[in-house]
Amino acid sequence: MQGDFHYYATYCAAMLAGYDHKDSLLICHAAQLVDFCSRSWLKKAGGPSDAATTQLQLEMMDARTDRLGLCDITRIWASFHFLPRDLYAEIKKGSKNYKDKYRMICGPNGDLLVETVKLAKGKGPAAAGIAMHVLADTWAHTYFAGTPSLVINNTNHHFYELIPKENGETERVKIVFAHKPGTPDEPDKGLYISSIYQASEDSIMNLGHGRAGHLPDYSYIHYAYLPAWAEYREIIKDNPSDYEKAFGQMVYALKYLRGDAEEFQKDTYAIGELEEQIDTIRGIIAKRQPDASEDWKAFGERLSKEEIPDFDMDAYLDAYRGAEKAAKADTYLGQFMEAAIRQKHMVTAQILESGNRLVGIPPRKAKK
Amino acid sequence: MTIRQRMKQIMVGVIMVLFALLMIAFDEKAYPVIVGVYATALEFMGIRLIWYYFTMARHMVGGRSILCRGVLFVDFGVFTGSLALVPHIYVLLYLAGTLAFSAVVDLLRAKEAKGIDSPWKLKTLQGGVELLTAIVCLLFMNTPALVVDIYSLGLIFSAITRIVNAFRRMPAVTIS
Repeated sequence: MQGDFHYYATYCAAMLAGYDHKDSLLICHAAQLVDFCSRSWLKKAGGPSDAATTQLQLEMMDARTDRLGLCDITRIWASFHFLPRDLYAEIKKGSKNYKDKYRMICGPNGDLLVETVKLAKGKGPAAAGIAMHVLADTWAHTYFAGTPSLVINNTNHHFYELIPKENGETERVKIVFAHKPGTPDEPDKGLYISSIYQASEDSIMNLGHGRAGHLPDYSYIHYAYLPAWAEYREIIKDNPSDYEKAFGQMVYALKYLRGDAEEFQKDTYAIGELEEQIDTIRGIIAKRQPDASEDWKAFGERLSKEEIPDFDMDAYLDAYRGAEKAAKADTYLGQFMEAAIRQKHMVTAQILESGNRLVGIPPRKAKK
Repeated sequence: MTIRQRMKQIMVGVIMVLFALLMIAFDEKAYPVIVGVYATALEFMGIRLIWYYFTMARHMVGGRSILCRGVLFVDFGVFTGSLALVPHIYVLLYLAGTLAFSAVVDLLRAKEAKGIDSPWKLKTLQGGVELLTAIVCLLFMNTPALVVDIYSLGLIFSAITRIVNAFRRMPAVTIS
């Protein structure tokens, strides 16, 4: 997902969950900061490098893809952007390495999502924002894994946008991927920018949805394709429906974090409570545009009757830098970094516990 | 390309230059060594691909192409190794043939890259020079010493483009 959903839509979800304007801004800032909190930025901020929630393009181009390098990449991307749905997924085929990679496939409503939301409870708006980023991405990044893998993340020429026609049928429009990073996608021509094909299993080009470019991040798109792992079964991804669920689940999760609900359960959405706003939400999600920021912003400002400032990654930097060492943890950025480290350690520990070796060497189980 | 991949490309480029210089210095006497190393490298690549297919890519959409490439590499490796015992003119013919094949692959890849707005000019130049070298080798077949020098120069050019390519940064699509 992009800034439109992580920042502005998260703000709207927080307002609808009952937070005030100030806390909603902190929550959506944290949700968006997850896409910017790289080691380079943390160095500038003076924060711990373990709190990195993303890797910049330049960092990735030089990233090591040996065993240790892959573990580092996987810890970051699986913890914050591609939360695995089922670490114990039943799979009879393939080597141990293949099974490990298969079980890293991201998806919504997994056990790790419940853990993520519960972990943020009572830890303030920064932790809530991080949890909302992770939650939202489980819907957008479904079927891709947060570890470099050709056999899981590759896509091929069989990629179509599904456009409903007036007579009820669905038209299939071929999607073409080009490799020209930095240039914008052209949805009207069905032309999207993606990473180039690299036959090496662990190439950084095969991380997450790089081979499908930004296409999974667009809320309006409804598409069909052949994922590398699905044994030639065509997968249909309905982003408008998924993004609506993502929004409804964010409102529900934020209500839980705010103390309005006792438990956070899977497959639960606050859609029914959004009767007055649902048409507006569906309208923004379905509108054919690569960036829905303006629409979400206008909706958010209607909800709070306050102005939502543009996202500024350095907005709270001075407060963090200026704080005494002992008081840094009490600042908003200090809380963000602590929450990020907690999230990363929780996900890493769960992956290790499952016996998966992609984030490190699992501890030996004690003999009975 | 990661630092490790870059180092690998540079090392392959340097080895290619050394081969070319060996051939220029020792002419036909260097053939057995070159053929041996070439055959071993092809077999190693093939076995690695076949291993990757059976452990991972077997379950992947389009994975059979990896098996086919692996088998082809092993096959070429075995064939190349068998050339150590035949007259050197045939070895030269074979090397020119592989150069022409590599040129065609490079040109096709450049065409594909152009189609998806990827960098394509250096690849086209590489393919063009390799093809030209292979043709000139065939034209001067009756003067082996000259053919060795032409082939060696073509090899040095390929090595240099490989090293230049290793220093180019290939951007990945930012994932958010």
